[in-house]
Amino acid sequence: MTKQRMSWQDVLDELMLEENAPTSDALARWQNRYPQYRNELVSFFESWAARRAAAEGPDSDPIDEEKLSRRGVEFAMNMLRKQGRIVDPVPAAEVKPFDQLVLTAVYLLRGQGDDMAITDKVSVMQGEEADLGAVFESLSRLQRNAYIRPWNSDPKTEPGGVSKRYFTVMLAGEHALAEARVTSRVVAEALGEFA
Amino acid sequence: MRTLLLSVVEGLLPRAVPKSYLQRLREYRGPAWTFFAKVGRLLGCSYRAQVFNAFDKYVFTASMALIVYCYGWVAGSKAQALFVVAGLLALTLRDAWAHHDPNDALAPLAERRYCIDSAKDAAVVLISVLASQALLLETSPEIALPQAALCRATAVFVPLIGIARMALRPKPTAQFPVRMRNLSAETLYRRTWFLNGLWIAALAGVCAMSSTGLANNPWDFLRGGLILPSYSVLFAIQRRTLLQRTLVVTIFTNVRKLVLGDRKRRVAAGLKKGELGWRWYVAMHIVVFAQLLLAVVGQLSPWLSGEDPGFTRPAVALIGLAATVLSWRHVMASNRAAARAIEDL
Repeated sequence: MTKQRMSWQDVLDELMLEENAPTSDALARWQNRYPQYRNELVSFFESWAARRAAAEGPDSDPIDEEKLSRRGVEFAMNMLRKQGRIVDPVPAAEVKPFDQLVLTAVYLLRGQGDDMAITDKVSVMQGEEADLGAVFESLSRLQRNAYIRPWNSDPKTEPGGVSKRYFTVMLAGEHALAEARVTSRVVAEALGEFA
Repeated sequence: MRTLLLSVVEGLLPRAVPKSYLQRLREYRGPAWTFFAKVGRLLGCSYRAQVFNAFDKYVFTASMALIVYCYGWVAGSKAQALFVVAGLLALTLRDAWAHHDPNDALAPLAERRYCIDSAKDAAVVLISVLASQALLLETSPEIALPQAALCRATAVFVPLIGIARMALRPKPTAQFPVRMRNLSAETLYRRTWFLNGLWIAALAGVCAMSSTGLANNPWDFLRGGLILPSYSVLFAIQRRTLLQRTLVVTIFTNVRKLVLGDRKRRVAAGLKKGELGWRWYVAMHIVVFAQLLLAVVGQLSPWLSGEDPGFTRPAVALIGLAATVLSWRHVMASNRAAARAIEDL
């Protein structure tokens, strides 16, 4: 096979068999040998050198597996938090003493306590008549912090045919109650064997 | 005496307070001073709780900005401060009284109640402004507003505050009218596009009204020339036509479904938080409505400052603002309903 007849593919095969590295000497040698492929050889040596440098050099874009897994866990935790399956622990100090009593009353009434039943329960727990305004404000605050949730009853099942608003404790409320039970004697006594 | 007091308290207590509280007070047979203390505590605590529940930073900021804008042209700093304080106090108390949780699916409030409440808000704040003016006339007449200036500012302020509160008050998502649910997907699609066209025309009309009419005015170009491109961007973000284009017809293809599927991608069905392009969607909303507001401000300012005595242009601008801002939720609901109808095929 003469040099003139050799195709570019044959030249490449020959080059890969003979050369170990894309040096400038090798490029000059091959350009002299096959001047008709001068430009192709320059492009090939360039890309060969670049690929070799990329393979030998430090990893410019390493995969930080730790970071990826951390992000994955963070994403999953956020989803669970949004779904209400995970609740950040609430320090008992954030829930006022009166709110703790109201929360306990809601818990003890097991989702069947309306405003007045809760007021009566709080009155029994603290040993004196509870203030109506304070109970309303406390229920509002607990609701705003997602410790309790209201639900309206079916009017057909109520004596006067008028729907009533009942409250039930949510997961965050139970966490707060568990904290309150440790710090408050009244709450601990009221909860007794319940919690 | 107690019955009379309780009937007054019944009207004063926030709407969210259940009737059982009043019933408990009616049944109370203790000493009179304890009874009055209980009534006072219930009023105070319920308002305090409802003020927190009802507070909305956007509504509050918009209300304050509107009072400053409308009365700032004609009032001195002291009078303006009094108007701001009186207006915001009145609105805060009014919000506490009327607050209803829009997420309360068990006891939803009709859409018209939100509109009526907003109109009443405007009336309440008007009364507070007039009371402030009366107070100024009594105590410091030198800083009280001239009658003509007060009328000018109030004529603009009352509709503006009503529109702002109607638009910004937290509401449940707009529902598509029941009577239109029987329409075919094609009819819904056509009507939605007609509605979109009307809305764009109203928007462009309000913006075009604010042009100065001077030749080669760059402000005119910015006000009139940017509104349609920015609306187009807002529209394009929601369509996602680049993501899917599958108009490949074979012998087994349901052509109606295919054509409607392609039409669905031409409807601005809106984006949810976290979806691709959400930030651009919010940003383009701000850009579009900011241009609308700038155009309306351009119409109202000459009237407020007294330069232009004619009320026709401000009135038309206010009507245009009300029509575009208040119908936006329904235009979006219509687009969503059209997309859903096509999807359900």
